[in-house]
Amino acid sequence: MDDELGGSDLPPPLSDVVCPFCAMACDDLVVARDQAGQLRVTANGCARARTLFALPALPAHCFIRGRAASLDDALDAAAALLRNAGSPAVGGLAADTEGVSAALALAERLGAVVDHAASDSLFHGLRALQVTGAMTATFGELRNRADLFVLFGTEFDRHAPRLFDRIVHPPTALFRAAGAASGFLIGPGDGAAPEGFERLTAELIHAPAIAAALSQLVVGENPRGDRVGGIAMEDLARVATALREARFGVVGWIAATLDPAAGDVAIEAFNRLVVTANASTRCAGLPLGGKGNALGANYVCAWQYGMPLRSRLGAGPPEHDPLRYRLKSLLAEGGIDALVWLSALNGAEVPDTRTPMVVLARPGQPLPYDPEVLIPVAIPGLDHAGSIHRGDGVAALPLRRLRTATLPTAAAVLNALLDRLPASPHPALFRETAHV
Amino acid sequence: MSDAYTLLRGGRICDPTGTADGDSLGDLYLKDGRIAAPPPDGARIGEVIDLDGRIVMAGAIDIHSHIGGGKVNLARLLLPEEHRQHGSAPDGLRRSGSGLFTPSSFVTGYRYAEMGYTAAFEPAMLPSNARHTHLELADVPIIDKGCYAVLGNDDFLLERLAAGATQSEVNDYVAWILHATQAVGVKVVNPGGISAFKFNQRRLDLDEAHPHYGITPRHILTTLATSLSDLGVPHPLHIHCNNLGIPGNESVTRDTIAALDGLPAHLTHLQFHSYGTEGDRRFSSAAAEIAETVNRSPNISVDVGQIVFGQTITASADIMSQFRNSGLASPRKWVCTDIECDGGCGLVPFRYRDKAFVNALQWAIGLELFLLIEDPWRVYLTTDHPNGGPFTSYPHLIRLLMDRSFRNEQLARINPDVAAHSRLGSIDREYTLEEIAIMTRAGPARVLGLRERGHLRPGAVADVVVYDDLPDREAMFAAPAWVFKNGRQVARNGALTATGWGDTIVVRPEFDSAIERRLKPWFENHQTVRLGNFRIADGEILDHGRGGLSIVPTLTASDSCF
Repeated sequence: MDDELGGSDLPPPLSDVVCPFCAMACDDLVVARDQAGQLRVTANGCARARTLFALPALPAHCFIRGRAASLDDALDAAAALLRNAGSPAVGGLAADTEGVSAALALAERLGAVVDHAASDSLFHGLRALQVTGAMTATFGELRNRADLFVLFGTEFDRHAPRLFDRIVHPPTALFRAAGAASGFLIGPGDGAAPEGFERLTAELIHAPAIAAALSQLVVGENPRGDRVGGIAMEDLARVATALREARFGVVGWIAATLDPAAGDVAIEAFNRLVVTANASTRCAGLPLGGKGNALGANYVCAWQYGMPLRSRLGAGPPEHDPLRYRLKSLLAEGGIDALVWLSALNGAEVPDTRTPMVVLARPGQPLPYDPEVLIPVAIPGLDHAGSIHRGDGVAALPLRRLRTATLPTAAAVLNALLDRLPASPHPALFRETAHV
Repeated sequence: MSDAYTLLRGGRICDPTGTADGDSLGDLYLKDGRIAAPPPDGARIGEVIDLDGRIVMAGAIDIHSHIGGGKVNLARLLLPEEHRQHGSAPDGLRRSGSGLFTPSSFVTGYRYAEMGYTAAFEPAMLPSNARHTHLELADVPIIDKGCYAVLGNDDFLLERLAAGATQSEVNDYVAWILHATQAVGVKVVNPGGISAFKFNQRRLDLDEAHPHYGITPRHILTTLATSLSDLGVPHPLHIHCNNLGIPGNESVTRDTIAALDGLPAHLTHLQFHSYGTEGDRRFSSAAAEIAETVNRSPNISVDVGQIVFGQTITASADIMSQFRNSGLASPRKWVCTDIECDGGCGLVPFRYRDKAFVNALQWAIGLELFLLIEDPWRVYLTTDHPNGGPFTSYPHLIRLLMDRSFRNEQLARINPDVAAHSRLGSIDREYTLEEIAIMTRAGPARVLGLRERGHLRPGAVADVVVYDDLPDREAMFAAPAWVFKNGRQVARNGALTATGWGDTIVVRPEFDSAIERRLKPWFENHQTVRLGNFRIADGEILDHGRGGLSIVPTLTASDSCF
């Protein structure tokens, strides 16, 4: 794509910059830069954006077992490690579309398991999708239309930083009074609720039961008991009435704050609540949160291989199993003998494991140990162009290059690594074309 | 550039746009990716392939196939079971992949090429999903591809129409969308209905006022059809009519054709819009009435959206219809999404059963349409992949059209009431090879404005398919003897031999860029993506080394549309 850098001495601030650092993917940032490549968010960014855009563009060395090395030597060492791996994995996957594509191609060559660092939250939603389906709406629709938000979760500021400014209480809206959306926050915590919102305190482990009770109340049934998950039934009845009377209600959730063992069950219950409400009015689900382009990485894997992440690629047809190929579990069990970890964006902390590891990371990424090979890579959207997916699943956004980069892109490093590895050793016949 | 020609010698050249009659033997020269005129004596001939009288056609073109973009990808995620059943390993040439009715991107390109298809058009690209769609299609190898931008439920257009926008303002907006989303056409899906569903309306007829904007589907349709005509976009408005799948919807289909009043238009997946209400089950074929209307309307082209029996998934921007049909989901899971003040998305898995009266009659209705619409230049082979079934069933469908006894054998196997309620068994027509070449190549190329594709005259892109002339037309069309893309052999006897990248085909009509002064604040005040980030730069498609951009010329006053 076009080089965004002009030749003038004092580059003007850039407007409409896309932030790649969370799934809100805000695209209205104003970013100033100086000659040294130092960036500064001057308008519209959240605290995280301000911190991460301001990371210096340092030249950085590659390292082999803690010793500085050239990129070529680091790639050779990485290839040597991976060439003999029996159970390799390619994880992290916090990168732009092109970085993820290159990582998946490498995994396919290696016969590796692929998974994203933030896939636990992702798979709550995915497993629910595969059982019940989903009924959702995107940010742009809700900004203009939603007059009621029922939000399950906690720490909304951290997981979906500008949700209230951009979507819940936007400055303008087409089909509702812009500032007037009201709603309920259901989850732990007792801080002040945003304007128009009421907090109903409950542990999120009870979210499935709460959503199920709301479904009953929406259709006029009376759930047994006088409390569900700690919330008084009359309070839930008010939520149900609000959902029934809303012109366009929203049931949203921060997947990362749901019960880690059964987040999918909660999301199935949210979906049933949404479908129930749609019998008489309009209502939509809204998954929130996510970092490191997790949704985008999963999408790329789905379109290229037909399967989501947590699949093994290249060792025969793509093989998907959300439990067996959960990378965190495989690492904990010692089931991986060589790991490629990709962390060009935030949200992919390098795992604390003794598994031999090739790490491709943005400068400044904390490391629990010196990995076998460390190759610093450029940050998408700051150092190079590309694209990422927003967390609501429809919009892919363009990333621009904002400064002169000294580091290679993750895709370039991964492609160079691929070139050092032998082609697939087990040619297999393509499945015959069939028709039904 | 190379100075050597490739000679395909002694084939029966079946090019309905040329002078060859398909009966006598002819030679075809390929050079630099194009069909070349016979060279002068002494020219260097590189490769010579003896065709021994085999049938030669241009590469086939699929005018309507949901092969990429948000809803297709969500369909893949919804049904991992289908991908577990149909997987393929890497083999040094092919990337691995999976899926039959929502194949992964690489598999999509390989399977099309192996069947002799060299271009396919994704018909339902929501503008807000355009970048994702192009990212996906960039991973579909070999074939050329293009997209139709979906308009007609987007709030910008509806608001402007309600405010009394002039035709020329709408034209500027339509042209801007075509540029910004890198599209080759415009599709309207259930005009006004997708938006009405967001206001909790569950059905919208052609002359029913939209609950918020007060305008009618008729107004949306005719304004958009006029736009494309005014702008000289070769592909006329691609229309998915109101009331898809509802018994009795044949009247809205005929009213839609009447509303167009001679404006060029393409009605898509017509089978789903040709239903009557006769009989005990209040569900009947109106194919004869619809075909007669199409026959009388030279401004109208159609594709059929034939169903084939078996498991598939219906994937549509028409969330109003998909929500209504969600109870039919098999397996019982489905997705509906309201999207960006732009459109929607609905996914309902479905199994067409040959013993079920409704499904069996749908099958018969599609075939009746193929056989009763007289002009093969105006009716194209589609299953509305994956909605009626996978594109890999095209060879089977070609046999059904070319082989009456085979067709009647199939008719005898399905729900027996259908034979009694359909005139299919009494239709003698069998498609000729030339008619197949028209409906799968020359016709789609003409209605898309692809002047360099769909024929074998000198100057055409050298997309060439060679078939063995087998009595079993299904076997013949499933595994062509040779397939050439841009002059290079990519498949032999139905198996891939090489891979590469096709072009993205776009159209770029002129317009007054002042429309951006209206759009920029709209994006800032009402959307969640800024105008500059919405627009897709050429470099986003070109910079990955995965095929070029091919720009379809707009029509001038001297071009006839049909």
